Amino acid sequence: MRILLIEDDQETADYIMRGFQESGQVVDHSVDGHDGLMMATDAAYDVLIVDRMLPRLDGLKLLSMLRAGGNTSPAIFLTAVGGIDDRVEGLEIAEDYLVKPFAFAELEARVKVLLRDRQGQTAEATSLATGDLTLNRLNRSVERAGQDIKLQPTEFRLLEFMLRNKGSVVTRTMLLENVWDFNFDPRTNIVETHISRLRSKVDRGFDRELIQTVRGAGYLIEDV
Amino acid sequence: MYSFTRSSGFRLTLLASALFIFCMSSVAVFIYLDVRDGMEDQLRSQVAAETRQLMGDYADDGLDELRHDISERLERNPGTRLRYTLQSPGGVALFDRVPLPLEGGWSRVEHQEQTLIQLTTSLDEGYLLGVAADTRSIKETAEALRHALLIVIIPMILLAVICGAIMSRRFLSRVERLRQTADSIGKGSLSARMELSGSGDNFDGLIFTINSMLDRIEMLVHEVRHTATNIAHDLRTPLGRLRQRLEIIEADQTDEHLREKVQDATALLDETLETFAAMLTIAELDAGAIGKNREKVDLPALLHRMAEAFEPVASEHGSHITVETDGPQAATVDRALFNQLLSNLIENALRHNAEGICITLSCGHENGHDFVSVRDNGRGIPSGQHDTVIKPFRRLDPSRTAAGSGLGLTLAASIARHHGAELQLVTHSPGLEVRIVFGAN
Repeated sequence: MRILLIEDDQETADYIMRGFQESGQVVDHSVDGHDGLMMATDAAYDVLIVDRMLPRLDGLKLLSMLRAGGNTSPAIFLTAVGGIDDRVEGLEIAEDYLVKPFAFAELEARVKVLLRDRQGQTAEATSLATGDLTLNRLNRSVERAGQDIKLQPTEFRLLEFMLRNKGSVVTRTMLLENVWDFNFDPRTNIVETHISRLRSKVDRGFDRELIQTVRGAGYLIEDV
Repeated sequence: MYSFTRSSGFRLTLLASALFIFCMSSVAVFIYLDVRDGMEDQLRSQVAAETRQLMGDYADDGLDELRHDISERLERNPGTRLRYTLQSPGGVALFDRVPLPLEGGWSRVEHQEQTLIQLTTSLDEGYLLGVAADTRSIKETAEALRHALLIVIIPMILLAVICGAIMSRRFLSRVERLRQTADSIGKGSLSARMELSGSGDNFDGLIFTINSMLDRIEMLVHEVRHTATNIAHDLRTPLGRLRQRLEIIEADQTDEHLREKVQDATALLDETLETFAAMLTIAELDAGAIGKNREKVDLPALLHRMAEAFEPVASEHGSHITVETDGPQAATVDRALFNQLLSNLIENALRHNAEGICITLSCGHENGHDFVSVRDNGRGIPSGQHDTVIKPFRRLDPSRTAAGSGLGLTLAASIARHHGAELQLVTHSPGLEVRIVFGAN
């Protein structure tokens, strides 16, 4: 995977590059919008990570120009500007939006989800499965090892999102955004309690636990 | 809904027309009474003069001459002549035989379907002389006058109403344009301005002043937004670096105890960042700088979704959430902000009450306003402290300091205000209801 990081804050850039390089990814870095635009035009990148407030050319304009030029690489805006309207504006151009400060695990999980969506592996599939667990999106049914599992609508959406991203960590924030449509952090542990209920329905009574907790990062449903 | 009969235009037209009608009617009544009284005075003068002439003859030549004079007058102009009655002491009446009163003086008499004004004079030896005039001419003239006045007054009244309506409409259309502009500014279009008519009148003066005020407000809001963005950037960047360093230290740390300490520090930093984010959101909301993405949402569906989201948390708390949807079925809101508002209220109910409560999410309609509410049957808040708890960083007692940023209700109130709604606290026994009343702001 080849990543282009356009970020003017060197310390943040170092932190991101260190994280991705540790997991064996190639990261190119630009400190200003103009050079970043040149780099993105010159080479093909799997993912663009773009700061919104950049010297010489701001992130929003940079990405608009890239899109106008036919560049379709998935992009994540990385920004200290986290207002609701800024977010809406950003998501009209970029595929994802992450507000600073953030945990590296959050950024890494989002990048993986973007790549998975890009490869089109599971986004439109009517049926999602891992191991002996199958989720049917058409009749909204779930079964494991031939047994029907009754899920509440939220539990279904939760499992569906995790299965779409099976094998990748999904963070608490990603779940809040995609399952509940919450762009804020509730003070109560709604994600944890829903995961706990889902686990009791999906994993209880089976030898293999499919839903894993990844410490300090989020949750993972294994790709068996 | 805007009612025409409650509009200032309608009321002004009505008032002006009523005043005009009152004045015109007063003038008409005055003219009518004056003409009628004048004609009656004229008739009385005629009767009195005739009586004086007859009495002169009577004084000179006696009763026979009087009879002779009257007979002569009866033969003249039978249609327009006066009526004459001579009554003997025995009550025998001669000539026109109009009934005479017992005593002399003026009287009004109905005779042969005519209304007469009569002057009765006592003669010697108990004789009475009555001279009367028919008032039909007064009646006919008064009738003609009334008819003429009505013909003039009714069109004038209609004209007055139409003129009043046109003038008040012209005047009030400018007021209405002013109201519409103010309304759109209130809804967040800070660039809206009122148009000057160019006449340089008082209205133009007022609009010029308001437009200047709006320029200043727009500039201030822009500055608030700019400042908020700068604060966000300049504060989040170093805090972000701090967080990154803590994360790197945690990753490199092998001592489990130290790792936990670093995790605690990261969690504390995250909490501080959230409080800061809430403050920024409140400032931006109050400045009208965010929250313009309004959409029509299905309220019952939204409440059910929120209940479902928080039900496992409530269940862990030993409580439960129910939904009542008797009220409005839809509202136009910023979905993201409204989700946050409802979450804050539900979390407040769970956080500030002992276990085992029931939280009811509802939408309803009362006193002409739609509302959405989060009600619990917990310990409530004394009504004297309702205003206090909405203010930033205010808590009721030290036990509440332990949890929350102290901005939950303040943020909820700001989001409500931003939607033209008002956050109201209602005390129940037991419990508290937080209502978001639309259109009450």
